[in-house]
Amino acid sequence: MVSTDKFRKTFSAVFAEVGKVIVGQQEALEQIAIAMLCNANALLEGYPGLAKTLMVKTMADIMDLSFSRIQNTPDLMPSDITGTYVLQEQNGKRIFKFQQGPIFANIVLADEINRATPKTQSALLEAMQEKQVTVGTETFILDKPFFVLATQNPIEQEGTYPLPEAQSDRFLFKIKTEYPTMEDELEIVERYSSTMKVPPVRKILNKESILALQSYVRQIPCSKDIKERAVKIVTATRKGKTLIEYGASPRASINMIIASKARALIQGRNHVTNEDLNAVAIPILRHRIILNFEAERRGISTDDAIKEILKQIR
Amino acid sequence: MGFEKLAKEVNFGFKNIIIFFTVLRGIIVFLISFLIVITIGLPWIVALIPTIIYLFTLYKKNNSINKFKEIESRYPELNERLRAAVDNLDESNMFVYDLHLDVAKLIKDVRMSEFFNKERAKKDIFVIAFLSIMIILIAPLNIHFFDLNLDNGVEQWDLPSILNKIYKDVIGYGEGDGGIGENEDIFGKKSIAILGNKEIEIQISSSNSEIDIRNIKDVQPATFEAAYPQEITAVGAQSFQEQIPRDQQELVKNYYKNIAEVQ
Repeated sequence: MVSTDKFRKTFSAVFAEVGKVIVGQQEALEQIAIAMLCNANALLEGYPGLAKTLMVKTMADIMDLSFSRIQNTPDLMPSDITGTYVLQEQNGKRIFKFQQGPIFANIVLADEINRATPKTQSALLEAMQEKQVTVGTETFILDKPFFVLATQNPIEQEGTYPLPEAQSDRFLFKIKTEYPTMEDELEIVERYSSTMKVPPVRKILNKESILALQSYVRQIPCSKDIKERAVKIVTATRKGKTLIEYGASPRASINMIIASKARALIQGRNHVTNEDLNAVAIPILRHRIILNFEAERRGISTDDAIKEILKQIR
Repeated sequence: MGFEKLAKEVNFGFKNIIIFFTVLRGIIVFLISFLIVITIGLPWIVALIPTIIYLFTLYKKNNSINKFKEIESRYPELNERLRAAVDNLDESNMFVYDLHLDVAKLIKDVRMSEFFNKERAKKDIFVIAFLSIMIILIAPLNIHFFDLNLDNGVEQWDLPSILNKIYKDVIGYGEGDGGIGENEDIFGKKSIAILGNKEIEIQISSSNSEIDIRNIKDVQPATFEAAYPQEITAVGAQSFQEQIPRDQQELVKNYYKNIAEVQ
């Protein structure tokens, strides 16, 4: 017998702890937590200076997970991510020893992923998918849980290598960090412009508990109607040609249900609701659909198009 | 009681209500069709066609209704929980178990009587009663707005004819191969029964009848007296012989004898 309320309390504590460091961004924080529970990766898009890195670093601290950051640049090589063999002298002999790259961490923040060359992007995305890296003839299994958070800058597209659709489809969410409200920004200024230090965060979860939570997610019961609605929503992105040129794949349907289950667990519910589905639909679909010229002409964003579909399919 | 049993009970109760209202509506459709059919001179059995189509359509529509969703709409605390619980009856993990326990507690408060629309039932029954009275009043008047009766005497499609046909087919009464000849013990000799084989159709139109039932009295016994005249007497066969000349009598006798032999 399990008390689902226990999960709600745990995540409330996690978010409260993150709140000591990050002001606002509750939606983004919840989506990061959902992605972690789904054992998936997320794409984080936001303007510079919105505490994307701090947010991920704080989550890693609270969950007692190792954290590493990769700053992507056009000259970044795959071996800079995966690691490489280096020549070392041991007992008077010279041997090749594998030097692990930054990918060997539980939470990897791949900053500005679209600045890396397609070759480096592929190496990172392969590690994300396979949860292992192969260097030379040797394969190294990555530590569990493994979670990549790649950031993208919506401006300064000059000299970038946008992620191909097939590769961006591998990210569960495209999380958008929004500018804070007036009150939140004032709080940020108060907190970080004084001599008062930001209090250290408490470790609430650990590797084992996160792995256990990941195994619970898929057990959350979901009604057939909600599954049908998820499929209808994804199908509508493919069929509705009035605003959308290319729709989402069936992988999106699967992700919608798994992410809804994870949200239900975070909220301390023993079943999935339509509210869960609505909450996860936008971050799941926004990087999987391409709007047509008509939508762009009318100034409709992907989020608006998805909201319209959600309104139609109730 | 386990959740599975509770869910089955709720489903059963809901189905019964749906069947009840489907039957009521089916009767209404039949009565309306019947009323139309008798006024345009078609056989009454034609009224069954729209009724069957309507019942089939209604059954399909009702079958597609998610009964648990209907329950959820009246009991918000069960919203989305009940369907999740019912759809995961076969699953067994701690979350499903927890959900079943939750829903089992809440489902006990569900009263199936709330789904029985008394107003609708009253209206339907009233309509049925009204239509029945209409039929009873209209039927004896033999009102035919159009005469679309297509049988033209070739085949009778009215109820007595159909029953008669069934009766004939099943037990071999009447004409045809399965007829009298095969059941002489029951129906008597064919040669006798055949005399009454001619069908007589008698139709009395009550709206245009000159018979006044009140004036009909008991049958009076009639007495018949022998009224033929006494002077008429039969003449014996000998008078026939006497008219033939004696010399030709032998010739006539031989003539008839030869005819008899040829036959």
